[in-house]
Amino acid sequence: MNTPMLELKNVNLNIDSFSLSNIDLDLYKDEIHVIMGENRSGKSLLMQVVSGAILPDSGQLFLNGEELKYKTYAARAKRDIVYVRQDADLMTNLTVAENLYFHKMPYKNKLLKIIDQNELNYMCQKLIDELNLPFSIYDKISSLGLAQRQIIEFCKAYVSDAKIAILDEPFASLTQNERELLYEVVKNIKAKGTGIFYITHKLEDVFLIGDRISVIRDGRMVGTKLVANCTKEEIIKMLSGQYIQKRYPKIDKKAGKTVLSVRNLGFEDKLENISFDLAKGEILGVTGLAGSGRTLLANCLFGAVENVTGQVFLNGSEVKIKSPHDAISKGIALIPENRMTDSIFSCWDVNDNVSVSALKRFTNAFMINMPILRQAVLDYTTKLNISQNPGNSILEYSGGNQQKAIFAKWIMSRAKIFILDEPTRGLDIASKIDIYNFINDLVKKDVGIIFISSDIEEILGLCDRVAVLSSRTLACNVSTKDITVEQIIELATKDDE
Amino acid sequence: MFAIERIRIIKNYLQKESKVSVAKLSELLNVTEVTIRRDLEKLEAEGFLQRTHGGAVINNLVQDEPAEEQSDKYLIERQEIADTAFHLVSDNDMIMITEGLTNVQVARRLSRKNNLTVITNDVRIALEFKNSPSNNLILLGGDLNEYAVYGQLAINNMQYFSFNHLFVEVDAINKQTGMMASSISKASLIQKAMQSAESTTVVCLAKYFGEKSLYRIGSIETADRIITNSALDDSYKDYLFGLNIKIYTSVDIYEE
Repeated sequence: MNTPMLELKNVNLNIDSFSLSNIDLDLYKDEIHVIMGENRSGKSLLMQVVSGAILPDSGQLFLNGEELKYKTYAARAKRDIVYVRQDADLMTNLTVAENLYFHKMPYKNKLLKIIDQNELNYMCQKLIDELNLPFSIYDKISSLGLAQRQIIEFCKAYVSDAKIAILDEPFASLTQNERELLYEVVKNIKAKGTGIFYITHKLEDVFLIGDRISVIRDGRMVGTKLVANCTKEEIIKMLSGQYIQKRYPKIDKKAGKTVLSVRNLGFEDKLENISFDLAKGEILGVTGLAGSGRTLLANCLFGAVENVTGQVFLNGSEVKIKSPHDAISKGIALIPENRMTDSIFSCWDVNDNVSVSALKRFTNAFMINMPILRQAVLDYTTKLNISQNPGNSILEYSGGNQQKAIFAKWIMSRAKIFILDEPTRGLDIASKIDIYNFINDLVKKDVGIIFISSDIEEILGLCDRVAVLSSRTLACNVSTKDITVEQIIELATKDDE
Repeated sequence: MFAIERIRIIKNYLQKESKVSVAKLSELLNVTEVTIRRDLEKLEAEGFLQRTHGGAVINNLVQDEPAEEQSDKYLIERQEIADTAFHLVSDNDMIMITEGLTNVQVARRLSRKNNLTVITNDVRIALEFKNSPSNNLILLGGDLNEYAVYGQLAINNMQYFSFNHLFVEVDAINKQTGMMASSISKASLIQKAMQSAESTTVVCLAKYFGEKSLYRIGSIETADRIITNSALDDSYKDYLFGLNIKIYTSVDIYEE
């Protein structure tokens, strides 16, 4: 067997309480090596190591069979490896041609850097004909849709001289045609003799274009297999691994009356035909891949986006939720995924952050009754174990304390429906346990909870029912007792049609 | 403003001023006098104050409640723990509850269930079920030590039973030594009970975590769940989650 173009041996890296351990990975010429793993399993971090953006703590790195020092590796990688990221970094005011050849501009005069427009357009037209791409060279990027931008990103990898390409997760929301076009581009890149790492969530991708597949979980390599001799079930098995659902503190509570009903909810071309019921004292888990519209669904229910179609019923009567203000006044609370930008007031201290949505109850003739408000807030913060440093900005607190303060805010405002979007992401274990127990207190008191999480173990351990978002709609909505981790992964990674 | 918030404020005020008028409170809290009177009634029932004409004075007299509960500083925490326990038991379950002050509260709460079969060695727990005819109570026999029976007789007694759910109250939980009890007879009774239970729930106040007691019951892993109050130290949450034990830090904060 020939030597691999790239090889990682026993690589370790520890960053912000997440670590890659004992990673072995290699890539051969003319190969598409698919990397799979759940959200936050370490795929992107691993690719950053491969691309030389982050240096590992220990382990060996080889290029073309030659072991390199980390610094040398990083320098070579910069030249030889092209990394196409999820978030398209195209220049939206330039044309397709200018974007594609940005790093390889043909110049009339090298010194003065005068661009040879004719040459540029000619090259680009040739490329477009060659790959049969659905746009013209003069199109501005800003006029193109997400799918087309994605294709351009991939074409940039084709145009570049890189020997290795890393293609990170194409958008989950591509149509079948767009997807096939993308596959064509990827195959063309491979035909040039380039080795490709292809990161994806879709099982179908593996069998359509993959040569080998590696699965990563919790920063460890689960295994690498030739696609030709492995089955779908084997991959799902590798992805799911050992789950421990036993350790989640769940209480038994008979679900009460239906408090929220959603019928045929839709939003643009991203969500359609979503229907579900939520009962009092029930936790409905919602999971799905990144980009499947979990957060969007939360925003639709909270009135944070406009032009939502379908009907929403609260306690049996239809309501129109046009703005977050509407939602709050109807007793719906949202704890958003992105704590820093969407839910804390970073210039205030914890007390102000906690009290902000309950101020109405403490006002008298337009004046806030401060001493009483302070006492009430203190009551909540001590109960919820939030450490007290009066006057300090909330930014100086740990993520766990910030998230607990956000819970305190909504608990104090007495919301009847809580929508939790990744409430425990990135928190330390102690804070997670606190939050699970806050949720228990809410459940005991008949609050309905929509619990959005990409941690399937957490969903199965904590929720009464689970709904999987896939292909713009809910692929299932069943009791957590009737579904396994494998089934959830299969539903979530299932493609359209 | 919620009752819980008002009541706290009224208590604080009374502790400082020792008497207050309804009008004053109504103005301070921005609620009607009717609401204030209702709050004062509630506090009077608790024995915190005595209502007077148009107001209330703080009550410093000892009440005729059981002496033990009067002096129990952790009554609220114990009640919160009991409330969580209530949501872990279903009607028709066979359960055993061992001796302990927190478990007395657990029993009080569980007495509102239906069709339970309860086995206990604690006389106080048995008495909690005196007014709930729909539940079936079995009191073990043995050597009485204060409020509970222990010894070989009690253990022999227990062998006739198997139960779905066991609630044990331990005296200390420690990372090094596991679960501890203050007497050998208690430790051995709990050990025996754990053998005949399908699942074991350990009940312990947060302040006894990291403490030590003389007799070892067993390692923490033998418990399926631990119920404690919300003051539990973070390092224990981390540790117990790592052992795959469900950890309930009961907190009663949301007001319906």
